[in-house]
Amino acid sequence: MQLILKESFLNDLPPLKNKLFRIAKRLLVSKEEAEDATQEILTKLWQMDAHNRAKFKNLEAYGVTMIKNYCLDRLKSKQVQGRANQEVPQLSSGNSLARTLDFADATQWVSKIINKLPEKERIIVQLRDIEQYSFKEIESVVDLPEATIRVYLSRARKKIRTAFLKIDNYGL
Amino acid sequence: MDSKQIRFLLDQYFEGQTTRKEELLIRRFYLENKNMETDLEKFRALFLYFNQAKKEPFPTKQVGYKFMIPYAIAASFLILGGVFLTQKKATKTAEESVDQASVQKAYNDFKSNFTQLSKHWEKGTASVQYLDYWDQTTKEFIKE
Repeated sequence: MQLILKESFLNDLPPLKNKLFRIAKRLLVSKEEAEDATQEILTKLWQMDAHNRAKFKNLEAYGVTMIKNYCLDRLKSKQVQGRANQEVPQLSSGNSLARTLDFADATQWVSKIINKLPEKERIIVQLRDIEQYSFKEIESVVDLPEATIRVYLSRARKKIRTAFLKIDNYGL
Repeated sequence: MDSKQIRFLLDQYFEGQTTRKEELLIRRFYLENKNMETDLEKFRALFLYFNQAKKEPFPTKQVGYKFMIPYAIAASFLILGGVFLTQKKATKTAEESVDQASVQKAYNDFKSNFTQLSKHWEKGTASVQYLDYWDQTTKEFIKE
């Protein structure tokens, strides 16, 4: 039993590490800080396992919740928000986003649009649209009922849509 | 999947009312189609971004390994040179009186090259040892 648990920890580790990193980066924006946060949470998860094996069952949900809380604490205490609310870059002229920009530019621009959202919306978009979580899984991480999550999600997606439409309406 | 269906799904999507399956359909539509009407084209970058963002890994630091390459090359040349020199000297020994100092120098070079090499060798193994440590501690847990 424990052997299986150990194996699963080591096997799940790389994907979990990547996932935690992406979530941390979405919240903290800074790549370096996200790396630190990921290492910190992985260490905590590993140490915790000795005392708290029961929680090992759903390691991923547990880790994601931990890193979310950790990042939110960091943001609160350090007020890194200023950095997250960086200006969205202006795009040069052209017909539509996809045509104007090469793919790398476009994705960076999208990422910045998402990073401008409030924290709650940001984490929900990250979990749903990028990590493709079910609403049940998101519930366990953000501790909100599904209906509320859908409201946040819709609000966030509409803000993203507005940003996309703005580009086109200004005839960029 | 035609444009009409995608438009309907997009509306649902922005309302937060799509299922995971439907969201995958939208994504697949954008991944598989290059030509589409402009109103759909607008959101192409968004769904391509989602698709790509999921693949972003934790950055790997290969500093240890990459850092070693120039040293390894330099060291191997020096070792070769060292071996060559000592051998040359060795053959000379038989014939004429040996230049003790240069033999000593070659030996010292050789020695320092190896120290250098082993030093950087260890850098790579540090992380592996960490894994071993993990393995060890787990084994202890299991024994309990």
